[in-house]
Amino acid sequence: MSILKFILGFTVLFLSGNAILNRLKASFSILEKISLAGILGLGLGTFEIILIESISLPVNYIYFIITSMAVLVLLNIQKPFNFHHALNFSASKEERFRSYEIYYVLSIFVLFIISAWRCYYFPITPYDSRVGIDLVAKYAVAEETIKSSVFTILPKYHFLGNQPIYAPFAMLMQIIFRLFGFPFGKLWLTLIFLFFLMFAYSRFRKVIHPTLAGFLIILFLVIPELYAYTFLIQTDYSNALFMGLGVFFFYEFYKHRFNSYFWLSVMFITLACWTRTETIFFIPFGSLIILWMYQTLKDIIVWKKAVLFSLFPLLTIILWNIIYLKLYLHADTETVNKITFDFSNYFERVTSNIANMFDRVLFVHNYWSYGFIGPLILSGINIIGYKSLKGSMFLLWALIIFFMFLVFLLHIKDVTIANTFRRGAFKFFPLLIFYLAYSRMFQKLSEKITNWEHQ
Amino acid sequence: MAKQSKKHKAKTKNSARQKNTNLNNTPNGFKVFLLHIISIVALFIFANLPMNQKWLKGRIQKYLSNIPKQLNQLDFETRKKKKWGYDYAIMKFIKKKMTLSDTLLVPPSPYLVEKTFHKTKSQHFWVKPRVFYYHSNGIFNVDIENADSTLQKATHAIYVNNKKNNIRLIKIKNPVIRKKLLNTFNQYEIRTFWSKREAYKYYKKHNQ
Repeated sequence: MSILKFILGFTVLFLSGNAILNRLKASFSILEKISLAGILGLGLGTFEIILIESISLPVNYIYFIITSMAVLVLLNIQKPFNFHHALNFSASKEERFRSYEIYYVLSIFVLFIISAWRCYYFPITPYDSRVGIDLVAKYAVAEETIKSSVFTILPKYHFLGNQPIYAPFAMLMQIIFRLFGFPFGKLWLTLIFLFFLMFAYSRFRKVIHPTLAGFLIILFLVIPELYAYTFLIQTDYSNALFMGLGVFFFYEFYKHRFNSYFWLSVMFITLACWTRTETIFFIPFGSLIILWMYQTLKDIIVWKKAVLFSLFPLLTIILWNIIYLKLYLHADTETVNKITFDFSNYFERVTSNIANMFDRVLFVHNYWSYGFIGPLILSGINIIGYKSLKGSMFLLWALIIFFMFLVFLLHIKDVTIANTFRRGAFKFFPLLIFYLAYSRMFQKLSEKITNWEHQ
Repeated sequence: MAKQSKKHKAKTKNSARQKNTNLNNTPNGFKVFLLHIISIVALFIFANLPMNQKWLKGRIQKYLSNIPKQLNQLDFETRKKKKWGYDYAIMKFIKKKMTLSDTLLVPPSPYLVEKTFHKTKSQHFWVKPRVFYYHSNGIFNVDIENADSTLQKATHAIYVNNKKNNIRLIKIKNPVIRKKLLNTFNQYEIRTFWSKREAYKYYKKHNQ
């Protein structure tokens, strides 16, 4: 029964994601389209749960399906479902599967299956999730409302802490997958992980030789800490993937100035903020980059784009942190009290924090194996050896994230290097592999292999 | 802006076309064979780099070898017991004995560690109130940090039988029992053990 519930529910969400993509005039390969439609559909589902709760309907499977179908119909009203358009994928000769890719695909498949199995088999283990996202989701499903006893009665007995009031994406996904009948929820993370791998591999094959594309995906997959979070339910892994996709489309927008890429970037960045609240602080830099890239402050369209880029993510923060948590759930949120403006020994604190961010997180090989140091060396070779800044948009975003974490460490009390920065650092890795794929070094190497192969 | 986009589009198309002139040639069969060999060798070398080898042998191989066994243990109870261990077993026992209108008084973690660590060897001591609520399907719990008025609501309590050091569930039938339990629990500090090692250290220190 749960499998039928899942098939119906996920199909509706997937078609909704596909309907969003059809409204954009970007062209994708079949793998890209499936993966983007899947992720956008799941993301949309979380907003549908909020919609159900907001109009005081019970949060259960029936209402979720009705709402999802209604949204699907709405998305197809102005632009009805067109079978030809839906199946119109860009496919050129260079995208065809090559026989030697099988080794990369098999390795990726084995690692993916192990992760998917562990995600399916085991219940939720992290303490943060059992007292946070899954605690809220479990009782929301049992009591058919997000405003369950977790928010109405439990605080009378115990201090809730900040775990139940995290940015809600993971919690809402847990609700959806529990409604689908999975007793532990969880499998949404496997799906997002799968779709990301599909998208990245498919896209990399377009820009670099398939052997290099496969190698980059494997380099990303064998990062121990990241891999562990593909089956542990937390907010951080999905946040890193959304941020990676958001920045990827931002880069495509920067290169081609297509509106479709702009909107895809906005959607994924919005999902990233919906997944981890701290992400909102990185986004205004994107607006500044938009103003800078058009080299004009007089064009109203440029200003509109710059504002919209930050506005949508900001709306999710307002929706959850102000409307939901403060006004509806009356949860105890104390972030403002945790901000400090201590500027004593500022220079020493800055340098020691930077040193610790590297020593205690980024250079800890048990966490990342070769996943950080490898791309760092390759990036250095690319910049110095090839004297190229191609793809440096990804590095710029990585620097923005690093700099903002430094600011958080200096000015927010509960932010720690061991936990907050370690998990926040997940965001670097999708950016690093995207950077390498678009770097001059990989492009040149790729051209050489392709030419050699075809001579 | 539209002009710029068109320019970019044309540029991309041109470079793609240039690329395709090369790709129109059929790949050289021998070179494809060589790419097979190169791919296998590259993956083999990458997998055997010291840190990757350690991770693949230590983690991935273990995960992989556990799958056949796990396929024979698919019922949800087994899976929960496997991951949540002793904590979950105790929780289940308590859930059976209590109703949703009851409230449980849980002792401080050090009390349980000191008295039962040698038996339970639990990784994460489950008495953290919100974890209890997660597992209890709606049964509320209180601990000594709560106000007196809240503590009065407790209908059941967990305590350790001094002779056998077994964890027991007791029904609080009168205020005298409640007071006695609270007096015992109040002798312990409120703290959380985040790891088995931390709990063991505490146990050793207090059981020498």
